[in-house]
Amino acid sequence: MTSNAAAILGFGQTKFRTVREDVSGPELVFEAVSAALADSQMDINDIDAVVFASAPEVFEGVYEPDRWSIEAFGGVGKPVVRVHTGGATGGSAAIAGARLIESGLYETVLVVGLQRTSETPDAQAVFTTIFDPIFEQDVQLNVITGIALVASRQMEYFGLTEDHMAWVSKKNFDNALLNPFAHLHKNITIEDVKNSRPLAWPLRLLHTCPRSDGAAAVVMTSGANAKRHKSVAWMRGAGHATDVYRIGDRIKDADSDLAIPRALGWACDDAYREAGITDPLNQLDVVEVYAPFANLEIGYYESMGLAPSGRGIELVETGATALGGKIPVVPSGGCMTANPIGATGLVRFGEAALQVMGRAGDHQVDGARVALATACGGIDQFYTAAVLASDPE
Amino acid sequence: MALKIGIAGWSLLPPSAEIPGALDELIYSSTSQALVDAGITIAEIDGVCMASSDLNDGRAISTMTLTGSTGSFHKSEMRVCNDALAAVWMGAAEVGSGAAQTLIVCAWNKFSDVVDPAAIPALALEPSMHRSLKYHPDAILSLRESQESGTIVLTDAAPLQPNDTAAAVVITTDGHPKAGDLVLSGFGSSTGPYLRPGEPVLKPTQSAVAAALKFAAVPISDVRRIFVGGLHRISSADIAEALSVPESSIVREDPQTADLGYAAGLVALVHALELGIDGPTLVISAAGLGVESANAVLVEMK
Repeated sequence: MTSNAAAILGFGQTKFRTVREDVSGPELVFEAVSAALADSQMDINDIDAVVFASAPEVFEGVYEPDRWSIEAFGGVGKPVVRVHTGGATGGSAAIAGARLIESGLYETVLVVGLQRTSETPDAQAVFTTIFDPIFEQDVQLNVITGIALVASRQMEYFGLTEDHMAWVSKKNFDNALLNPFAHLHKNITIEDVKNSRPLAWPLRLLHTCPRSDGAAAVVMTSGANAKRHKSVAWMRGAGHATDVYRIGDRIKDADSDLAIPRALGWACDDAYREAGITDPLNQLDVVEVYAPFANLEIGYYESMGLAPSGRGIELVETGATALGGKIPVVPSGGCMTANPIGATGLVRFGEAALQVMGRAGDHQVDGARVALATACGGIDQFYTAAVLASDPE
Repeated sequence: MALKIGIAGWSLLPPSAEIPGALDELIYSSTSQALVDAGITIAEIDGVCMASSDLNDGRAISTMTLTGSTGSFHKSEMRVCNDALAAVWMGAAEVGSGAAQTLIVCAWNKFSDVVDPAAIPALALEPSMHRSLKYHPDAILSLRESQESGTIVLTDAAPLQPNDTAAAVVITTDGHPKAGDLVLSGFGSSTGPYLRPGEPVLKPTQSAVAAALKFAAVPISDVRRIFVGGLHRISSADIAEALSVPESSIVREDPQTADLGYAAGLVALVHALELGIDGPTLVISAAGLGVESANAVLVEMK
């Protein structure tokens, strides 16, 4: 942990839906920011700087969406910076907020995440533009087909089956029923998952996430200031890491396998080192992982150090990641049940903070004191990890 | 609280209407030269903080394909979508927090790959009510100046010239063995309202400068020169008056009409470093629909 620790005082999020027709983008932001300020018992005048997370902005249909939202998050007269690391944006923004505090540049920082994917008529068309324009865009590789390739490799690597993926889907959908903010509230069965519409083999509709509109906000402050508050989540460690762009380069590397994203491992290593975590499975109480597909969550178990090489699947087979299990993963339902992309990483971060503050409501993990929150961007390329705890040390 | 960040090296591809080569070649040329200048290898770098625009770069997550050229592979990557001086203070925060010892701050602009750069700023307008009115940042500035002065202010400025450029600065902890004789010691930023008239156009710039000087505990009277990135439509005389400095202390881009996108602030910083720092030197930038997003950093000799 750095010498001047940052702490989270409050978290606010909107109800996530496919389309929030009742509000504009700035109104969504206002909803989340108001909730976060109320949750932290702070006023907008207590905020020294703002980190805004929204990406890709093409989804919003507005270039630099932070500018036309500025009055909605109270940024006038304050330093404002917009962070963008693809899907990892919300996680990067949370770390940016922490670094601004830890460095002594600012005392109290508001981190805001916004995504309004409904503004784009074809999200996959936008996603296609993320690829290399000369060699790859014509191939029409997209997120679903890209992750299907990962799932295929995982079948070979650790024996992934449809049953494993269905279990993860049901677990996360069941958890979401306990979270009033989740986008999807569906009571599903294993058979529902296995009979859902095929997308790209072996992936089916209920293995993946919805497109969500929504916003989230977190209020962070310095350790000295946090000690004056009763309900605090301490930022004990953080890391972010980037992998090479081309998937083929990752398949061929001696230390890399497409099944298990090494960059998440690198990010977690840094976060664990700062936090003094040496045995994640036993030292963490809960994990809010950014996994928009069921198979990715299983692969991430190994990256996050919860299981030895090739044995992450055992956490599924033993039910360890269920609510009430050894290490509950996404008790909120995670991004399989709400995925406002640029804000999703911040939602994971905020949910992890609620867990260690003991304020997660019906999806609270009993006795949770140390939590891990992650985010992922690109095609398994950008990762962030943050360890939050109920105590500063 | 005092925070001093070392400067180990820098590099600039001078702005030009078109710099031949692919975008990643442009960036690599700049970042690799900055490392050479700093005497630091990429293996010694802990992370990269960058400023770039998806719309200017032409893809939804443009930095995905640029990890090799920015140097962020297997490292932390923090990207801001603001003028690059924001990447400087964000990078300073990473170093100042202890999360990094050495960091590359980089920014670029390759407008020669963009079909119609002039169409991009208007996309920042609220889509239902404002975009259809075809506001232009110059017109917005004129409207705000009109409101401020109580008279009609017309825009007759020459169009901005889209330029290609890339710049990189290697920053370190203050005591790092590769840190040179210069430090970043002041950091300030401020943001004005969206479109709304009613406050002086240069108020965010004044606030950013005041914050940077306060942070460094340096009075404005001690500042030798002020290097300006962006703020194309504002005269040096107006900037000098707003900051209470002599106009002779203002150093502008040449030509002043060169549009460097998000890279403008970092280009101004490298410009200052290349010309030599002989006393407290401010680097400022302001961008947005009405120069409402302002940043300032102070460079001093140790």
